[in-house]
Amino acid sequence: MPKIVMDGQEIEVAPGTTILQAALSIGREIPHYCYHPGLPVAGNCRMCLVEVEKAPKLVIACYQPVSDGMVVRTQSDKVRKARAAMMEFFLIHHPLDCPICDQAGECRLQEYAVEHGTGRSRYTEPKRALAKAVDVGAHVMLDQERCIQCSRCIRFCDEVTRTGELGFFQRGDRTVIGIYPGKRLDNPYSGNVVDLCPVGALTLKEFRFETRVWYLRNTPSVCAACARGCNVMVATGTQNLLMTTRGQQDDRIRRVVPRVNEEVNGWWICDEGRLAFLEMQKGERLETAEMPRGTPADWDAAIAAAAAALREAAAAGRAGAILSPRLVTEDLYAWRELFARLGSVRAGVRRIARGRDDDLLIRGLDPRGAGDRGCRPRGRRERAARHAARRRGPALPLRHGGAPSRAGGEGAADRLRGPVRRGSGLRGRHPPPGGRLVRGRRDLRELPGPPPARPPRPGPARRGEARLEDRARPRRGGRRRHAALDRGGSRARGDRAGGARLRGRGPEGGRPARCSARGRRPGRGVGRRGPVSDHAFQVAATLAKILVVVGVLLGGVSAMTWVERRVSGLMQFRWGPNRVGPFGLFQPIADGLKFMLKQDVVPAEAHKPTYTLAPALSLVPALCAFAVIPFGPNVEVLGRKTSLVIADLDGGVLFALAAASLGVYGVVMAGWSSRSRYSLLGGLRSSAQMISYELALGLSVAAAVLVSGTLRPVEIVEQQAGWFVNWNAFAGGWQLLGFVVFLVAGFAETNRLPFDLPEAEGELVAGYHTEYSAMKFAMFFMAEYVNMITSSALAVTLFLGGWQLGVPVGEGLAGWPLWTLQIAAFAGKVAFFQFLFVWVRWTLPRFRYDQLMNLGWKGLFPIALANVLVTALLVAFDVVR
Amino acid sequence: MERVLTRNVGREGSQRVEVYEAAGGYQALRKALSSLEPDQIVEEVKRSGLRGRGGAGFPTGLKFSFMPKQPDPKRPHYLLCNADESEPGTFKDRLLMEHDPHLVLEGCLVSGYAIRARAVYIYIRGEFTHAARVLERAIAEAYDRGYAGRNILGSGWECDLVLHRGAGAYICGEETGLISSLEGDRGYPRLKPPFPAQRGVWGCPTTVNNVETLACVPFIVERGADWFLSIGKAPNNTGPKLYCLSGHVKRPGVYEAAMGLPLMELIEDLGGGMLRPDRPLKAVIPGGSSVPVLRADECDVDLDFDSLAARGSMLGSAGVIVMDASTCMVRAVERIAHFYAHESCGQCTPCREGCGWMERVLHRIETGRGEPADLDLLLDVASNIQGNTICALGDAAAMPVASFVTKFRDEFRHHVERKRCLETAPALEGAR
Repeated sequence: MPKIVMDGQEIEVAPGTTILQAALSIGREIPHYCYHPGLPVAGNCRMCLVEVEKAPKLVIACYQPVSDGMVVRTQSDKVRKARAAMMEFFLIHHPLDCPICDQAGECRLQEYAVEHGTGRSRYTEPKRALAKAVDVGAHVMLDQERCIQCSRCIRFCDEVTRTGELGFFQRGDRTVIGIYPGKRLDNPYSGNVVDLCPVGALTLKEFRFETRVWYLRNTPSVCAACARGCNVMVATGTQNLLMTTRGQQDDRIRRVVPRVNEEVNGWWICDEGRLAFLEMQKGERLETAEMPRGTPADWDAAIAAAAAALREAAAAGRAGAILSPRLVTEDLYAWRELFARLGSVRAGVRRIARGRDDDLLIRGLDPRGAGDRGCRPRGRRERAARHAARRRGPALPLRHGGAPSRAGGEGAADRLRGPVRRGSGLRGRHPPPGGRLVRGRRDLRELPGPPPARPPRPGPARRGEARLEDRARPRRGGRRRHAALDRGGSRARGDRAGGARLRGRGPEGGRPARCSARGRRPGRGVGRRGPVSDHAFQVAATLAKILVVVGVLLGGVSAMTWVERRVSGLMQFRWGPNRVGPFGLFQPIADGLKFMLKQDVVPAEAHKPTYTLAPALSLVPALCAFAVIPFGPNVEVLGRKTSLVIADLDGGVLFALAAASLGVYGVVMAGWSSRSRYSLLGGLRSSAQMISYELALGLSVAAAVLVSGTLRPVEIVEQQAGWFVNWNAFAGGWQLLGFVVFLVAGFAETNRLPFDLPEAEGELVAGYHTEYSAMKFAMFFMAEYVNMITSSALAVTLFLGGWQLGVPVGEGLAGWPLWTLQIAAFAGKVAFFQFLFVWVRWTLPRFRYDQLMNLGWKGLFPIALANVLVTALLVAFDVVR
Repeated sequence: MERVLTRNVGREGSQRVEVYEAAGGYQALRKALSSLEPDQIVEEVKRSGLRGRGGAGFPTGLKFSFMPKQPDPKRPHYLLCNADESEPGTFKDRLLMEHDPHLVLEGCLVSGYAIRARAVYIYIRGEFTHAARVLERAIAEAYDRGYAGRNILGSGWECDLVLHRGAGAYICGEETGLISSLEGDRGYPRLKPPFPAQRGVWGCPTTVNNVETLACVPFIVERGADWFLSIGKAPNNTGPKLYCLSGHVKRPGVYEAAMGLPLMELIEDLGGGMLRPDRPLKAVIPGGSSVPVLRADECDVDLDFDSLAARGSMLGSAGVIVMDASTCMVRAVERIAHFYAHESCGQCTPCREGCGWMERVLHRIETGRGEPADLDLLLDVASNIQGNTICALGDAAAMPVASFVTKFRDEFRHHVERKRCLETAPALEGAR
């Protein structure tokens, strides 16, 4: 037995022991990543370097065997420096994303960084960017950036499963771990690589982002998924922080990891055992006794009923049992005893095929191709058993402690032969006394009988499984749907047969709760009150309003193009359009035709989907914003009342602002997608301008809303009835200042002169729509004009009384004449603002960009803010309304 | 000194076996097989003081003697001829293989006999396509003449010659990386021990030797260890040596001379002096890119293992790279660091992460974005790599960086502070 001295302590270890193992044997840890007791030594992480006296260099403790008289130092300065250096090397490219990493809390990299690292990195170069979520297999995700290339996972696949799916690719610091082309990490032990991974590079899909490991409580246990009895650690716990701080515990299983037992499972467990808990806690468990078809019952009655049913069936020779070999021996024995005493009944144990999912662990042989055998056959058999049971109608459902089942096939009922096999609790072939073994499907078919009570034990059986016999109809559709139906049915348990409930055609009682809820929901909107004809009228009226508004808006746009040029001509002592039609009135039609007939050029470099979408995204929100603006009073048409607004929303003002703000996306997308510097700069400028001025605009609206006390435009307008001094801009709300702010901001929002910097031709050619042509180009201008009209209408609504005439309405004026007048008043006010827009455009010169921003941020914004404050005070002290 | 290793270089048809035989070729093999026991050859090589020409300078006879004396029939012995000549600045093996392939083969066979090899693998660098073709033809000729295969020259010894072409990875010139590659795996170096003589290729006892080393063996067998000892500096730096001269000299190329040739003699006499008279010598890398650099004032040194080790450098593969005053040392070492960052296999942490780090820092300094702290950072990273890796590539990457920064620190500092190269040669001013 060689004796060595480790950090002054003399220890005696077996020959061939490595320094690392020697250290572990005396409870001293030498940090390591690549070393794992279940894998061959790779020695490549270099974390376990220690100093050995007389050795010229540091040696790796995981590989260096001890020799007699060796003097090892694990804490010398040289060793500490090397460890700190390794930690620094590991972390230079590491993304340091612990806050979103599942490994956090049990990560070797974290632990050693604290224990052996220097705390800060001197690496200032760019980090290497690699794939973050590579789907390498059925259960495993790979994050290449977090990987420290310790090669544990590769060695596991090479040496333990010998399936060799994983490998290193590239070299140097470009090295990454990955799967070989055409391969998937889907061997039946793939989950072990997740446990092996000392960092967060390999994560289990079933545990990713589920919880933090420090919320988990670990309980040593034994895997119940097969007879192997692998030692596992079951982690239970809660999912969110709040529950923990309240002292509550959610005892769901979050994951299962292997626990070392070299006699049984070594360091590994199979994926099926690892994930068996998912199936286990999927459905509700039986907790109370139930009579057939789900009637609640007390235990005594249920047991009595079950006993009676069993006895009856046994007397008629129609009782049989299929037991799972996963039952504990005592249970199997008890069942067999029961059936023996009942007399001529048949009991059998479902077979586990040899060496399927746990061949590696059971036999320790070459498991090559284990993935093909995998864990599927078990599921298939189970399905077949269920299927057989279903097809034959009610048989005796004595399944117990079932195993998780996955995809399976049919036609495997034949394999139910040979009921008692090795691997089960009952070794050899023991015909139960007094009964006989079930053989083959024919026997099973002869097992009709009344559905008995549920197994009395509430433990392992699950509702979903226990109810299988109730389903006379074969399943259709996915499992989840059935589970939902099943639950619905169980809640509304009636006298009807389960099959009928499953189809979901029963009366109220049998329908899932979800369906009935929909009927009860209090309705809102057009259809809520009355008969169908009223509903139809409202729909028709809304459609008509939409058509009229859109028509008027677009008509207004074409009119504005004419007005703009005529007015500018007027102001510049020239004619403007005067060739096409009288006074050039048909000019807009000529323009429209031209735009439609021009070649639609899309730049080759443009991002076409965005490029195409951008003009529409400019125009459509502008049109939408108008939907909430009332353009007239409530009118009566065909004996029915309707309001002259497309959508009378409670939060209409917000909707208008929101819809108008969407226009900025059109601008930005146009700028970006054109792949042109001019466009991009124009788009950026424009979006900055629009977002900046939105603040002042929003604040001025906020003040108006304050005095109105509502966000509903219809109400805001109604409040401004009577003399025009009653309008919000005047004595009605003292919002003249707010009105001016809104107006100025409105100029900026619509990109009109003097704030049309995005289109500053001298600098940016034509700004964000430089690269556009034909109708797409025209759509930006249509959007601009629609925006002008919409923002004018909004200003009128908020500050200038909307459709109110501004004078008290006399008694004699009512009905259509009055309404027409009011609509005209609204149109007139809006038209004035249109003129104002044009007037300003041809009067004021364009701002510089800094001037624009100064005005917005240092001028309008503080003013609007102060206005809100003052208004709030006025409202608080009841000075206004 | 008479030309020994390169005696056939330049001879008409030197690649052909008849020409080689006419010049006295394969006599050593005949002598060995007819009158010498393998152990006698090993002893003779040991006595000759022949040291490995691949870089490390390990005594060849000693290496031969590590092989088991009696081959286990289940574990045949193998000789690996390392023809993966990848060290920047080194091109001597290529010359031998292209111009005198039968000398290489005879060296392989005699050495293979000495270690009782069942086969000799020649692992040739993938880029050496011409040399590979020449060797392939030579191997075919050797089989035809009975120098290889079964019952060689009637002695009953069986030995095959196999040429294996690599794929151009520097790391496969490392002996265990070469073994991994030969076995079909990634060219990852292995942990030592076990050394190849215990567990080499396919787990069998293996000796790995450089082409030039093996080429020396037939002469030792034919002419005796004493002849070998008479060349160079006995006892430890003996024999003829091929020097690869490159850089700013008038006549770059491979020169054969006795071990211990003074460096300045190589540059001035054999190499014809500096390329341009107005640009004086600034620095020399004496043994391939991986060895520490020598400043001009350190160049009064003999080119042999021990003299250079005393100067803090190494003979390495004798790739002498000469740099004149116009060379920017930052740029030079950046290029070297780039090579090692590119060729690091990525297996063990310090070399994988450190080589790329050093390259990036050097690139930053070279492009005028360096910080004063970078110089010490480079030295520290280099020292963190050195000695902590599985194979010698980490050291090979760290040594030039550490030596360049230490020996030309002013120039590095100038680069950091002034964002441009230091003008070390006043004559250059006039030249511009």
